[in-house]
Amino acid sequence: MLKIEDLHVSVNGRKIINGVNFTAEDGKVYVILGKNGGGKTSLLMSIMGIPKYKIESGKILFNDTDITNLGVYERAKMGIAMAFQRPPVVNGVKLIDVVRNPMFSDVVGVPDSFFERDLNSGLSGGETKRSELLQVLSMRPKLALLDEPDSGVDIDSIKYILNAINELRKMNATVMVVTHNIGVVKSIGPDEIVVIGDGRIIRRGGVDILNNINFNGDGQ
Amino acid sequence: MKFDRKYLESLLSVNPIGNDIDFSTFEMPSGTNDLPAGAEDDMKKVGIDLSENNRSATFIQNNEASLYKNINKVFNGKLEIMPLRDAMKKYDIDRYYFNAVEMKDKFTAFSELNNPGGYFLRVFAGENVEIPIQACFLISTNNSIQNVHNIIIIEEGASAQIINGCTAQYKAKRTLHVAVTEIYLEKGSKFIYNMIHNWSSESYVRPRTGVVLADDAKFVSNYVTLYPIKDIQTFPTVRCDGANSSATLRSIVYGRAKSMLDLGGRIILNGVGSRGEIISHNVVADESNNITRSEIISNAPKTKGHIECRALMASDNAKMKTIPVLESSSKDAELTHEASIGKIDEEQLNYLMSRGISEDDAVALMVRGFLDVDEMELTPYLKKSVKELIDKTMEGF
Repeated sequence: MLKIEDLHVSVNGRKIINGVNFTAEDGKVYVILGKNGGGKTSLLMSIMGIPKYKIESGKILFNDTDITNLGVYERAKMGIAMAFQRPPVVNGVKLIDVVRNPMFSDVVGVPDSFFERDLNSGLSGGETKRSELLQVLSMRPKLALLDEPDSGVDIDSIKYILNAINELRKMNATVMVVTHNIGVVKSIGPDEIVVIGDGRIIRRGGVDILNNINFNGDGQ
Repeated sequence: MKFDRKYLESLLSVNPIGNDIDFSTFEMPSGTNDLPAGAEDDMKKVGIDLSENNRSATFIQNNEASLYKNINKVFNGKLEIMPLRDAMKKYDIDRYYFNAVEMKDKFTAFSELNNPGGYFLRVFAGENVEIPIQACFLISTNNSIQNVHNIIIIEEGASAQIINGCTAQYKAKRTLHVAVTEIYLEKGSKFIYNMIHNWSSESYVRPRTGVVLADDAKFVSNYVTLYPIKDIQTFPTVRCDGANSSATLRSIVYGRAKSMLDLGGRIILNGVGSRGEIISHNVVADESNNITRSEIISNAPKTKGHIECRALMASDNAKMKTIPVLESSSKDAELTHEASIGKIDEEQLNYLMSRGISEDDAVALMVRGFLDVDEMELTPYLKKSVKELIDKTMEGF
């Protein structure tokens, strides 16, 4: 359903994705590994259509539609949703203004009071991640892009992240998760692991390749 | 008359800051004794509820005529409201007359020379009037001047809040509203002064407002203007004369069309331990020209003041100017200010759009958020009303 062909992306004139080819199938969970600055976040941002990530060449196809030149809103309406690693604070806009369907609050352990708070304002690391996952779940996406949902969070929050991924599985969503945490990778039990470095995919395989990967930040 | 006529006439050529206005291009029609057709809907837009279910007292002025005054039964004995002209016959109010507001320019002189309308409001000592009082100034005749002088006295230990709704009817396109408002807060009293404006795009507005606070008194002003206006210039002055008195001036300003909005306020901290805060949020759109002048002057020890002015630019053809002034003659005064003018944040916009919200809706959501009324000390009912007004304004943004 998601097909990326020879994708090249730059940010402020600097090349950060250098020829990615990737296919993701419906309902499967992909864990993206790789060292910092290798292009993991950039790949997800490019799929989401964030304008700062300028597609220089290549194509992104989603359910056989070429979305390369579509804006972020159009892509969201097609079923692509992203949990951002560092979402911006939007003062005066409340979570309830964005989440029109609060039914997933139990899944990610969010109290009702959360919905009246300004978006990402004054939240702890774990709260921010759970707010992001809640927003993604509420969109009932076909493709969920989760950028380091586990970084800087406590044990409880990790439990909720796994809950959220299971919920996305039930929706038959395709999930792409960026993480550095081997324990989380094992708990997720992904269908495939993709290692990215220097803006390229340098390795793909099943969970068994974990044994051959150095997780000290470089994922190789 | 408190002032010499010749002196007043000499002031008629004294134009303060802002564009000059020629009184001779307007007429002063008398009002009718009936509410003009469509007035109820116009008044709703500025928070006036004619059902009076959620109001403790009501005063309505159409053009120059005091049309209606009423006090809900449960508040009898807690407050009084009447046309100022009646109060001047009934009481000696000389010490409240041009005391909080200085007689110094063509608008104050014009008001005094032309037998102003307006109301006299007194909340009796120790009374807590928790339901808002409402006053509406309606202009229903085109090319007309409305002349107002209000005096408000909140007696010792009393508390109240008022909604002042000012509006011009559709047929009254070109209008001038001149208003002197003097507010006196006695010891330990509290008053919330809500002002909602909905004039026409050809309306000129010149309010002259002064507030005087005694010891431990607390004054909060919430000013909301969301609709296009030709030209408003106002610079209310609040004197925190009493020890530990405090004043907060908040404004939510949405500059649209070709509006000229020269707004602001001055707080003078004369009382030991007095505090002042001026907070202004402006959305500047279309060809609007917004100026925010904010001034806090400390003349006493242990005083604190803060000015915050934030503006969101939504057009390349609009202008925003912020002029904060802090002045101190006391060595242990703490005065601060922060100001920012910026555009719609692209990162925030894309973030909201990634949630399946269209660009137009996302911008409207952000503007609504910027004009956040949650910080204002409004009753839940009024907060809801103002939010609804903002939502209505945002339609088709």
